[in-house]
Amino acid sequence: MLAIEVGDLLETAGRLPMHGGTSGGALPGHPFFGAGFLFIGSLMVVEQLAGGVWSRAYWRRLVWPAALVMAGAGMLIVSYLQPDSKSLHLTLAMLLLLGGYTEGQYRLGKISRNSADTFAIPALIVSGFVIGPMHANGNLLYSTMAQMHLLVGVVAWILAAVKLMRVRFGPTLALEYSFASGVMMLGLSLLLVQQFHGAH
Amino acid sequence: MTKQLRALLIGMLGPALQATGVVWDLLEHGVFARGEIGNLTLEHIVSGPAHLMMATGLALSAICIPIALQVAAASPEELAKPEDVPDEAEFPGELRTAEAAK
Repeated sequence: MLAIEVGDLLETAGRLPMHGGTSGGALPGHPFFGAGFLFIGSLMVVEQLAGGVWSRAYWRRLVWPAALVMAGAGMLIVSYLQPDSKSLHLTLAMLLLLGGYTEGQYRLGKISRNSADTFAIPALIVSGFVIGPMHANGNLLYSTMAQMHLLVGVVAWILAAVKLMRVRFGPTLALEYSFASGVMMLGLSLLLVQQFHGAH
Repeated sequence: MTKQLRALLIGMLGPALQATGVVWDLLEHGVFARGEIGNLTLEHIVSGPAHLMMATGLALSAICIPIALQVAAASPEELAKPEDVPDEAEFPGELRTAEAAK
C-alpha cells in the first residue's frame, strides 16, 4: 500500500512544471546571474566569517562592488540582445552599475556606510518592483514563472529591509550575515526562475 | 565563535553548495523530470540551475580553502573586523542621548 502511495506521489511530482535549463528560445540569463549572486553572496558570508583575514588581500575588499559592476555590464548586454523588456533590463543595469560605484567608494574609504546605503536602499526597492511585479510576465496566480519572478523581487525587498534595519539599529553581526545570506537567496531565487522557465 | 569553527564553516561552504546541487540534480532527473533524462541538451548541461550550483560550489571551494587555512592560523586580533568609515553627519550615541534629554 505504501509503495502505491509513493508511486502516486512520484507520478504527481513528475507532472510538476520542472524544466531546469530549457529557456524555450529565450536567452538563459537568469541562471548565470543566479550563479553569480550565489557565488558573491557566499563570498560575503565568508568575508564575515574571516573578519580581518579577508582584508589582507586588497582586491578582496573590492569583490562585492566589482561583482555589481560586472552584473551591470552583463545586464547591459542582456538589454541589448533581448528583444523584449529592454527598459526594465536597462533600469536594472543602471542600478547595478551605480550600486557598484557607490559600494566601491565605500570600500575604498571615501564615503560612509550610511552614504552608500542612501543609494542602496531605494535601488533595492526599485529593483524589487522591476524584477518582481513589472517583469513577472503572466498571471501571478497560475504562472509558476511569474511567481518565481515575484520571489526574486521579494528577496530584493528583504535586502532593502535589512539595510534599513542597519541604518536604524546600527551595524550588527546578525544584520551583516543576514544581508550576505540574502544575496545568496537572491542567487537561489534566480536559479529557481530558470528551473521553472519551461512552465510559462 | 572559535577560529576553528570559522575555518570549518568557510571550508565547508563550497562543498555544501556542491552537495545541494547534486541533490537538486538527482531530484530533477530522478523525480520531477524523469522522462527528460534521455533528451539532455547542451543548453541544459551548461545552464541547468543544479549544474551551475555545483560549479559555483567548486569555484567557491577553490577560493575558500586557502582562506580557511589562513583563518585557522590567525590570531584573535587578526580575526577582528576593521572599523567602518565614521559618518560625519551622524552624532555619537552619547551626544544623541544628551540632545534627546534637552
